[in-house]
Amino acid sequence: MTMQAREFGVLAANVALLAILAFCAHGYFTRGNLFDLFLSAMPVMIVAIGMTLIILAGHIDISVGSVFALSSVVMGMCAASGVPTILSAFAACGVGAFCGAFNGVLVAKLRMPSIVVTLATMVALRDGLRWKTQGAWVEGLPARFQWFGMSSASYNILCFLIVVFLVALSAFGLRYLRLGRAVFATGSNESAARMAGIDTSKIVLGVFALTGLFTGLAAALNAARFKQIPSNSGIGLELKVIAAVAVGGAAITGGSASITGTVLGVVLLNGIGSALTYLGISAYWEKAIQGGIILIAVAIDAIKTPRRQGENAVAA
Amino acid sequence: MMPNQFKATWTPLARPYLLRAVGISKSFSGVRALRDISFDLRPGEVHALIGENGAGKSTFTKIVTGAISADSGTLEIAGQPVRNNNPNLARSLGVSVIYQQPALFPHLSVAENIALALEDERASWLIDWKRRFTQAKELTDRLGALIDPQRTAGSLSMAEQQIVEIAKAIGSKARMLFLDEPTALLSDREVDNLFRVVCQLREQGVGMVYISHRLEEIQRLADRVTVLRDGSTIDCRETKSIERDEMISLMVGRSVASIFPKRSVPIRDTVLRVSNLGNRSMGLHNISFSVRAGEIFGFSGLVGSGRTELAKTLFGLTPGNATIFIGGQAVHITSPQQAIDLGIGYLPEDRRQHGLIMEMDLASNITMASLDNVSRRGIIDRSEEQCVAERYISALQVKTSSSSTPAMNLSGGNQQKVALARWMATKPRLMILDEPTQGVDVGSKAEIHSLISQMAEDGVAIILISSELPEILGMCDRVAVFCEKTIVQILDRKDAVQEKIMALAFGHSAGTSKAGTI
Repeated sequence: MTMQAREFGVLAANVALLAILAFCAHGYFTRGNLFDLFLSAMPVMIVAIGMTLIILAGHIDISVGSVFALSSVVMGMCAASGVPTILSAFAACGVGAFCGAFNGVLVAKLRMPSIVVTLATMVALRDGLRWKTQGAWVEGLPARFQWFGMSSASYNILCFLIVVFLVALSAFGLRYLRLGRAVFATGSNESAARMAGIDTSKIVLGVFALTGLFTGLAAALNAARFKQIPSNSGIGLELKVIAAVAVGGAAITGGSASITGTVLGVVLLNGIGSALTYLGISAYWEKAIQGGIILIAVAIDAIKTPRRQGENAVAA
Repeated sequence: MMPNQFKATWTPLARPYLLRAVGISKSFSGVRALRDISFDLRPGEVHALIGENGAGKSTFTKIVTGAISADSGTLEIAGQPVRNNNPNLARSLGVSVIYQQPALFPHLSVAENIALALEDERASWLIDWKRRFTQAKELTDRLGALIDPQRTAGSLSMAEQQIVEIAKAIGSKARMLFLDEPTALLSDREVDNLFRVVCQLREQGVGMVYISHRLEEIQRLADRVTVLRDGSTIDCRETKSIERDEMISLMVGRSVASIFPKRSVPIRDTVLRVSNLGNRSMGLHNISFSVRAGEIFGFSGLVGSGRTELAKTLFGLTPGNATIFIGGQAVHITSPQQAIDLGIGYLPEDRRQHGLIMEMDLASNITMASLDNVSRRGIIDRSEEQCVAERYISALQVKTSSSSTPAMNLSGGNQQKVALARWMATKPRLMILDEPTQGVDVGSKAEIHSLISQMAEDGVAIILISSELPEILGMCDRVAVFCEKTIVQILDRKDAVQEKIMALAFGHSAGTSKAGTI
């Protein structure tokens, strides 16, 4: 119930933002600009779908930025050494899934706290990558690397379809799949979920691996936009992603989140930045305004929470 | 003597009582928890308070410590009439409680733990370590205990931690201590240690209310015994003038109400057979029994005697080294999923912690353990799910507006019915019910009892764990009595009487067989 109220709130904020832009910013609603906006938000969007599942299951993954960078570089190195682009993209997904599964094993099987595990992998992967590449970008990519050898327009549409497919699949999964139900149950009350026969450690391992896979996919799609691949991409990605999920109404303690909320959160936070440019406001304000939105969203939750606990106590 | 209560405290002989409670009554939402309780405590006395689970011991303790307030009656602490008791007032009058589970900061030293309890905000913000250590030393010495104040609390034994708790209480000038099952988690040697401290305190004029299920301890320690039953004071005697058997019969002395309509159900094949089960991590040992279809098999015993531990072992939560036969087939159950697949259901004790998922709607909660029946290839058929849920909601008369209401909006009794529905939906062969009516209102309780009987009639083998003896006696065909992590005896319905079960549960079978034969 509260979820829907939250989704409505974020939707309203989005609509307000768009309305302001429609009036004040000419050229914002052109096809080219919208696709640019979409492509720059795409990595956050894809990773945020996975992060929604992780947060829903009561955990967090702050290593996604580093995994993103690693997957990008792996894809570039494969492609540069002559591997077909599409297979390089699969390699990126594989690396992402492996890193996610590694985090997942430590969290689910060894019962280590997810924030510490992923902090460690975040730092280790980032610095390992820096050491390996010496900060150099991956260059000398084959001509057919950019846009997967398609036209720019086809690449745009491919990315868009993939995002729509992932959003639809995850929203359907959370509502209709047994696995989705199990993620909710695990995050709400792990002990009760276990007592009802749900293998909670498999679920936790699964959401980490899936998020890793999504991060690899996001890295692959993003890398194909360009002719070279920076070795330090994805810095701060985890913060953008977690912020979007939080603004979308997910309870950071688990058990409550929605894909719709997350999508709206990503759109809102990414929309702000570009809107500022169009409205002629200094880009320095972008982060401050994003921070403000996150605070407002969390403050609304904090104000609501005590009352919810009160209701619980009465029900007891 | 009344006119000036202030004066009274100054006159040593006028008020010999540390605590005097007269006619205390208390109800919780219409249910009488205490009825006209009277109790007193003198300085330098150990006064035992005994009774079954739910007899009112902890409610009474909470009233004296100010955690809850009485509906009527007068309370006098340290000679002062107390009207609006609250935790601060009670503490300032010298009331302190020691619980069975010490609550120290495990990473801080003994001295720091004591200092945190004693120092107030006015203390200097610079820590005087020397003073902290001498103060801790003085207090533990006064209790006659040798505990190094520099050790961290987490490295102490359970008894030593308890002694530190007592030191904290004494240090903050407590004059009366409530000891709530202080020995429940202690080994024999540790118990002796604690007893020495209790005797030391008695000589120093501290009054102690000793709450325990261990009657032999009460005989060793207590000067007087007060027996509570169903929220009333049954008797108050000098310990030397009362025998153990008499204590037991005073505690239980009530006929089984005829509110448990026992249906006669044909008992069929053996569903579960356990032989010589042990579980080292749970402390269980030498457990053998069997349960048959249609039978209600009771697990009786004190809290911590092994009942819930055995249930968890059978359900695969804490696998044991057992030979378990389900329907004649030998199995080794290592996970709840496996247990569910074998047709075992387990309604856990604490439905908030382990049972329902409060944020989820009723339909999801009901189908949670039986999603196989409402899904195909991993995809849930929501309308089918709705149907199943609504069928159980109406069959179990769950009071709710719809099956999409979150479980947290329901009352305790209705939540419990939903939890039961989850397991009924799995169509189990063996159903383990752990305290199914705990914290449930009277009306729902009767409904749950009739559901249990219905399941038995339908041929489910049922294990019923309950701390409430009338429930065990009223519902069960046979009763296994637990003591010290094993089954000490299995009684047939006709032999199961309260005195016998209590005596077995309290671990003195010799006395019982005597009591039983007489």
